[in-house]
Amino acid sequence: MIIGEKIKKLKNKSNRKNVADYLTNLFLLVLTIIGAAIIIFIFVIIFVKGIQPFLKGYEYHHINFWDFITGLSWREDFRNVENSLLGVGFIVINTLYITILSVLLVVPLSILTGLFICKIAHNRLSKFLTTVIEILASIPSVIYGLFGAAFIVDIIKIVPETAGGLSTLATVIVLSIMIFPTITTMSVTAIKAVPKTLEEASLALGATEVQTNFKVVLNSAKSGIFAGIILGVGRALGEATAVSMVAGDKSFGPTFGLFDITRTLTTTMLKGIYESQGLLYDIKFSVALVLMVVILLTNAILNFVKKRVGYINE
Amino acid sequence: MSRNAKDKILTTLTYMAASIAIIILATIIGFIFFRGYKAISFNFIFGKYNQESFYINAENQNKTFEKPSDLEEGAYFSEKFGFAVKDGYNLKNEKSILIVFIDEESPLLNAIKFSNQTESLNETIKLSTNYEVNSIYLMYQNELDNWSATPRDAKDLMNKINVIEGDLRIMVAIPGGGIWGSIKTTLMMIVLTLVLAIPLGMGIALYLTEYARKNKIINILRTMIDMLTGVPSIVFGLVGIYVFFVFLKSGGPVIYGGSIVLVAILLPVIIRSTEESLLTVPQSLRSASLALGASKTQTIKKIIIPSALPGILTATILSIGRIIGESAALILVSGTIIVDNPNIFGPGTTLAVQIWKEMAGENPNIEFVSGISIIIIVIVLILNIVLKYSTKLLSRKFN
Repeated sequence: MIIGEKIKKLKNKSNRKNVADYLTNLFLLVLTIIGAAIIIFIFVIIFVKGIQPFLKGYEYHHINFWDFITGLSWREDFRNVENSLLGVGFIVINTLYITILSVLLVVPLSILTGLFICKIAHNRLSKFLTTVIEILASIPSVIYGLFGAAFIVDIIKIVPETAGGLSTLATVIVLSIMIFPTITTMSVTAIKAVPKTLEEASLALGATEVQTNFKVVLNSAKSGIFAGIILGVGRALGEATAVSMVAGDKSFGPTFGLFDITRTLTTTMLKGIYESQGLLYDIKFSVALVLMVVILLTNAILNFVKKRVGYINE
Repeated sequence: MSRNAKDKILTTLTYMAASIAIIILATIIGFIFFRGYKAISFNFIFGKYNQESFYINAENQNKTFEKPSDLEEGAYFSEKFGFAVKDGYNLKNEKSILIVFIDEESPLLNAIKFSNQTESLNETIKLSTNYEVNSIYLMYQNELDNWSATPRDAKDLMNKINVIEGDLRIMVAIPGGGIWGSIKTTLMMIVLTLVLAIPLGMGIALYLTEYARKNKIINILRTMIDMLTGVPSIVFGLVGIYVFFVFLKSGGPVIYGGSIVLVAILLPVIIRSTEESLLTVPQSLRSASLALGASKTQTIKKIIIPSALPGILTATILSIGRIIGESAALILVSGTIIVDNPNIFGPGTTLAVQIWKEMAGENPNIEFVSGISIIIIVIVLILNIVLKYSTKLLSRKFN
């Protein structure tokens, strides 16, 4: 109605261009509203479904929020839902533990590789390595999962303590390989952005090239490298398929042994969805909510550290 | 330690780190290719995945066939019907009896297809090697004595064949294990997703850069788009289950559901990269177009969109890569049922999901899965090359 009247008004001014402009504007606005609606809808659904099992009037089997968040075992019982043990505490610890190990393993490698690409390798080698990193970044996660399940797990099997090779260690290695290109790419960008004058000043003061690279260049690239770490951590926390292929299916924890099977938030969400209603389905949303909170919190902490680190050096 | 020695150690460390990157890539690619190259064949790419099995009736011609001298070890030869079977594994890594040799004059090359043990379809079929033999129907003069038996192994089957006097009636299965169905699903997924996501993402990017005023609502929208980038794809999958199974009552996993979930996953990527390329269009171009009397719509159509084309193209290629690689969300929404003739209103697996499905089984066939991986890697590499080449070409044209 309103739109029709507006078009009439514009037509009366005998200017067809105005009508077209108005319609384009309207069309794009509608698209934007659709997009916004989709995004809001996603967040609302996760939130509403996620907190549902903890509310009093929940129709299936109400569970205690505190028990859920601090629980140390996870067992889904489909016959008697009331008998399911749904505690996500140890899963959060496992997930963080695996992520921290992966990041600790990868960050030095990524920084050194970035330095090599930007400062040490000659032109051709540097281009070749950049391509290698790009290819690693574009390989789908399921192929890393296959590589982990068929190759890495096979090697870990040699250790007598493991149950068939599925283990924390295999998960850490697979995740490390997956976040390596992410952090390296960001490191390269950060190192390339360091102003040439800084390096020249350091060299002029008598520092060797290696000293300059490690002390001056890396120091000023710190903030960019940290941005890479934040991206990498996000990817490691949210990865589901590859992890589910190498992690195993532990029902209690937390697990700190490298050769022991484990369970992460994402594998809990991916495995065992057989129905689209009931407690065992809704609880996956609660796990998703926990995962998103974990991601947001680690992001916030890392951003805080990033600011502090950057501040000291400026 | 002297400065010199320290420097050398540090330099060596960087060399080592860089070589680790190369070693990792070489190991992965080497592993996948080494394990998977044997699986790749015409049948693998264009064949059906699911087995088709039926009975055949091969006439007993009362001939005696000669055992070929170069027959494989462990294979059992039937002199009456002129073919050989051997114990082996099919493409799903299940134990089975495979036909490994058929004589040129064997009645198996001119057998009659049966829908079950007794009903003829009046249709001849030519058996070939690699077919599986699943059971045998033993026929006696008194029909009531007829019974079908499942042979334990190749030797057992041959013993049973040797005692029959009439025709040979066995149940055979055409080997499955082709990925054409998954390739079709992947293509459907790409087309459907891009058709929805590119116009939507482009429209939103255009609105945000060309029309939207700088106010709070727009800022919140931008923050939400950024937040969406950080949401793991499996969470999208969970929401997808809710929307399609519960809300729309799709009655099970559906391909179009997978596509729409992918649209949500890709939206931030497409908006971001379109917006970035829109922002590189100089303000003077817009002003010049408007000053010449063009309307805003005309300016967008003739000036802004063409200039933003490289960005949109980059977004498209990146999106195709993401769709091919995406697994977690699709496992939940479009299911893990491998179908040969996918329909957008039914379930289907993309190549990546098929890999996950195969690996989740009891006894995964690594050769088969690696074969699929080779195909994915080749496609991804081609996309990478296209991306590099096209951005170079287009940026040269526009700058």
